[in-house]
Amino acid sequence: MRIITYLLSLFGFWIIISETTHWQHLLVGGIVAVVVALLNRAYMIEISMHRYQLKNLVWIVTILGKLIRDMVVANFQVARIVLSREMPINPQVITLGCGPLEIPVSKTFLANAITLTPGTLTLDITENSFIVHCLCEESASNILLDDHVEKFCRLEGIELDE
Amino acid sequence: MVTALTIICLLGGLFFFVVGTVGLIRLPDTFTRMHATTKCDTLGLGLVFLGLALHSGLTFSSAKLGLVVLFIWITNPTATHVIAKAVYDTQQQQGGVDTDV
Repeated sequence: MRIITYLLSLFGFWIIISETTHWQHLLVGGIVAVVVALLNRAYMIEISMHRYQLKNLVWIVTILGKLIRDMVVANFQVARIVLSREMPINPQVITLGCGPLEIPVSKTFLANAITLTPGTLTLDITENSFIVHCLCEESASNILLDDHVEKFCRLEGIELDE
Repeated sequence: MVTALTIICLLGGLFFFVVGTVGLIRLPDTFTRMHATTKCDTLGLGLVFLGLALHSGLTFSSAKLGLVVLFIWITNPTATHVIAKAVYDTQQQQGGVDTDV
């Protein structure tokens, strides 16, 4: 099952890159996709996606929407800081709890989201917290991690205590 | 109309790239400089992609551009994290937080 997913994504990638749907290209792409998928069989990572519940897939959309909005807001903040004459920065390292998240994929996604938001930078991930470097207090308060954590908990199907 | 939107998006993207570069030069240490450069890759690249995608419409080129943006948004935080973690661990070993790296 995993190998079929892998094969299909490779084939889709080939179609986008080759920019054509001529049958010769598709044939070559199909053969290459099968060969690559078979060769990389041993390296395929076991992503425990099966715990993600499909009915909660709508949360992914909300998470992405919120992430993009956060990123735009933070971008303007950092732009203002950088362009102002006296540069009011106050770098600090803070620790944020990441709640009851268990799946490494969620943690990775969350850490990457923090890094992608300007003004915050994930330094390290420990068992149940992120160590985050912030440009100033304003950007630290910007992350609103709890909100994201809550959404990911729903995605993983973890019951929240509240 | 589409051309105007394309130009606006491209100019916006360029603005954020300029701000990122200025920040890279002005800010004092490794961490803060990385904050500035993430700006280029998020909104800067996003706006440039949006402008170019508007220009070419729903074609294979747009899909390719989308893939490029997707891969950059995956690799950028990964690379940033590796650099930041290396600097952070070095500082921890040397004891105390020395900001003049």
